Amino acid sequence: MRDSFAQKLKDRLQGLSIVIKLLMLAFGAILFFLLFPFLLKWGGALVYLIFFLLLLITGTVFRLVSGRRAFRVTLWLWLSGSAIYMIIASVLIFRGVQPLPYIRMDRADLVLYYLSYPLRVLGIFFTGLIFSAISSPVEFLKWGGFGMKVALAYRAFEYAVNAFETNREALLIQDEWPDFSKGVRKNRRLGKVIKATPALVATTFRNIILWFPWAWVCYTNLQKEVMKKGDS
Amino acid sequence: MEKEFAPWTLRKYFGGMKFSYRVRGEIGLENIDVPFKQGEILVLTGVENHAFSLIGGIVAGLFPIDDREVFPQIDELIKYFAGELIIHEGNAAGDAVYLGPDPEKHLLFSRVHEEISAQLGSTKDCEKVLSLFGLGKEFAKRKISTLSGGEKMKLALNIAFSKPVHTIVLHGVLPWLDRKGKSRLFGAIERAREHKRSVVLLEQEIDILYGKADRVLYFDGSSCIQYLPEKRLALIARISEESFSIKSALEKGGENKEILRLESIWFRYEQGEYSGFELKDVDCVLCSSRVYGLVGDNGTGKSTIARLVLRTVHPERGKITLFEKDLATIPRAQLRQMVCFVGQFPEQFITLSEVDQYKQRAKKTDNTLSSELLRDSFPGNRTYPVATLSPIELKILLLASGISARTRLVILDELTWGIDLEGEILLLAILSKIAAEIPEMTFLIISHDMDFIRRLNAQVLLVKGGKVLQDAVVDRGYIS
Repeated sequence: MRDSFAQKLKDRLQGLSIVIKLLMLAFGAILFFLLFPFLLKWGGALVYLIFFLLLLITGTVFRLVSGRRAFRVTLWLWLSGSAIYMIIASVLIFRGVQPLPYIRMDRADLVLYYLSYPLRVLGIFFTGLIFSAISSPVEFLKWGGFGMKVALAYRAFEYAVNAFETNREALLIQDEWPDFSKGVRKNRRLGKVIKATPALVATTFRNIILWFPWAWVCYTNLQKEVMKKGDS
Repeated sequence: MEKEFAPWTLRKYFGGMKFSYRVRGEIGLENIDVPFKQGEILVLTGVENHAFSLIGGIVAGLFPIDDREVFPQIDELIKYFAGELIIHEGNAAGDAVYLGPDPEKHLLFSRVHEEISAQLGSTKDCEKVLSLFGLGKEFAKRKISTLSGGEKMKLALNIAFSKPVHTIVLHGVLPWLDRKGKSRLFGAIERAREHKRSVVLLEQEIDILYGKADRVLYFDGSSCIQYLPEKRLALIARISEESFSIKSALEKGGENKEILRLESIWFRYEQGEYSGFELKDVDCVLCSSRVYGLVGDNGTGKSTIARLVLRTVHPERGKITLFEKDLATIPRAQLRQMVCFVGQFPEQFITLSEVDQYKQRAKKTDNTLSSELLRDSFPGNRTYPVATLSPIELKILLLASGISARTRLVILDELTWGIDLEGEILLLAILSKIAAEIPEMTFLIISHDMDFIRRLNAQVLLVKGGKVLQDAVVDRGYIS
C-alpha cells in the first residue's frame, strides 16, 4: 500500500511542469540554505520547529520517491560527512569563530548555527535528489540549444548518481564499504564509510570524466540532427 | 588526389572511403579502406584497440569533431575524436547513425519513451519503434537506469534502425544480445539491405556474421586487409588449447566438491526499480574444479545471480551456501577472498588510479599469486594509469588484483565483451595459470557469446523463466 502511494506521489510530481519543479528546487535551496541566517536573526523557537518539520517532510518525500536503498546511502554519506564536519565545527565553536561576515552571533546562536549546518546540507541533498527523481533531461529540450546543454549537464548528474551506486557496490565487494546486512558494528560502519568516501567520490568522478566526452559527442550530434530537421 | 576533411562535403556523398587518421602522433591509421556500398553489409573484424574503436565513428562521419573549441577544458579527453582526417578516396557516409559498444553513451535521457521521442522526433510511434526488437508497450515506461545492459542495447538499436539514414554503423553490439536479439538484429539488417541502406558492422563474433555479409575485412591493428578465415581458425585453435589446458589443470583438483548452492531462491528488485523482473524458486549447485557458463536471454537475471552470490543484493526467500556455510553469515573480508568478480565494465570496479598501486597492495598483503599475475601482465616500472588502459587490460587488472591463494570461485561477467580473439587467448592463459595454481577453482562465466561458452567446454547453466536449468546443451549458438 505504501509502495502504491509512493508511486502515485512520484507520478504526480513527475507530471508537474519543469518550471514548477525548478521553482520547488529553488525554494528548497532558499529554505535550507540561504534563509537560515535570517531565521536565526528574526525567528523564534516556533520558526525553528517549522524548519525541522519541513526537513522531515522533505526527507519523507525523498524516501518515497527514491526508494529505501537511495535513502539509506544518502543518509550514510551525509552522516560520514557530518562526522568529519563536527570535528572541525567543535574547534570553531571552541574558538568562537564567527561563521558569517554580515551577522554577529552570540555564543548560543553560534553553536546553533554550526550544529544545524549538516541539517541544512541534508535538506539541500533531499531537495536536489527529489528533483533528480522526478524530472528528466528531456524536459529541458524545449529551451533549444541552451536546453540541450542543460540536458547534458543534467544527464551527467544522473550518470554520476548511477555510477556512484555501482562504485559503492564495487567497494562493498572489495570490503572497503560496510556491509549493512551483517556482522559489522555500527561505529565501525561509520568509520568504514568515512574511509571509503574519498575513493568512492574519486572513482565516480573519474568515470564521469571517461563518460563525458562520448556523451558530449552524442549530444552534439543530436543537436545537429534537430537543427537539420528544423531547417528542412 | 588527397583532400582535407571538410564536414560540409560529407553530406553530399554516399559510399565507401579510404582514409588516414592521425591523433597527435599517437594513433596512426594509414590508408584504411572501408568499401561500404548501398544495400550492402560490410563486416570489419580484427584487433580491438583504440584505433579500431575510431573507425566506426570516422566512417559514420562523427569524427573528427568540428567544434572542439566549445569545451577547451576537455581537450585532452577528446583528442581521439579530434584527429586529422585525410580522405584519399570516396567519403564518409552522408547521413549515418553510429552505435558503439557501450549503449549507456548513446542513451541520453531518463525514460525509454523520452529517449525515443527526443532522438526520433515526437512523430514516431513509440510502440512501433520498440517492436523492432520485440520490446513491449510496458517497456516504454521504464527508466533507462533500470534496464539491463542487453535491454539498453536493444533500445539503442531500435532507435538506430528507426532513424531515416542511409548508413548504419554498429560496433560491438552482438555481445549484448541474446539469441532472440541477434535474430532480430539480423532481420533488421536484412530489411535495411532491402531498403538499399548499407550496414557496417565492427564485430568479433564473426562466425555468425560470415555468411550474412557481402564483404568481410580484417583490421590488423593499423590497416584493413582481406579477412582470411584460416587466420581466425588458427586463433580458435589456440583458444581451444588454452581451454584444454584449463580443463587439464582443473582435473588435478581431485574430487568435485560442492562450492556453491542456491536453494529455493526467490528474488525481485524493489518495486519500480526493475519492474516485472524476478527469480522464482531457483535451485542450483556449483562444484569445484569446473567451468560453468551462465547463459540466458537479456534481463533474465544472470548478473543478478552474481550479485546475490556477491551479497550486494539479498534473496527474499531461500538460502545460499558457500562451502556449506550460510552465505549471509560469512564475514565480508572472507567472502572477498573466496570469490573474485570481474564485472562487464571493469572500470566501475577499479577504485585505485594506477596499476602500480595494485602491485604495491598485492606485495603489502603478501598476495603472491596476484603479484605474479600483475607483474606478468603489466611488466616493467611503468605506473600504468587506469584511465589509459584498454578494456582487455582493465579486465586483466581486475582479475589479477582480485585473486588470491584463498579464492575458490571466479565470476566473470561478459568476459568477451569489448575484446578480440587475441585478447580472449590472453585472458584464457591467465585463467589457465590460475587453474594450475589452484586446481580446485570454479569458474562461473556469464555470457551471451554461445560460441565462447562452447569453445570453453563449459557446463551450461541456463537462466529461463526465473529459474536456472542445469546441464543445458549449447549447440551452434542455440540452447536446447
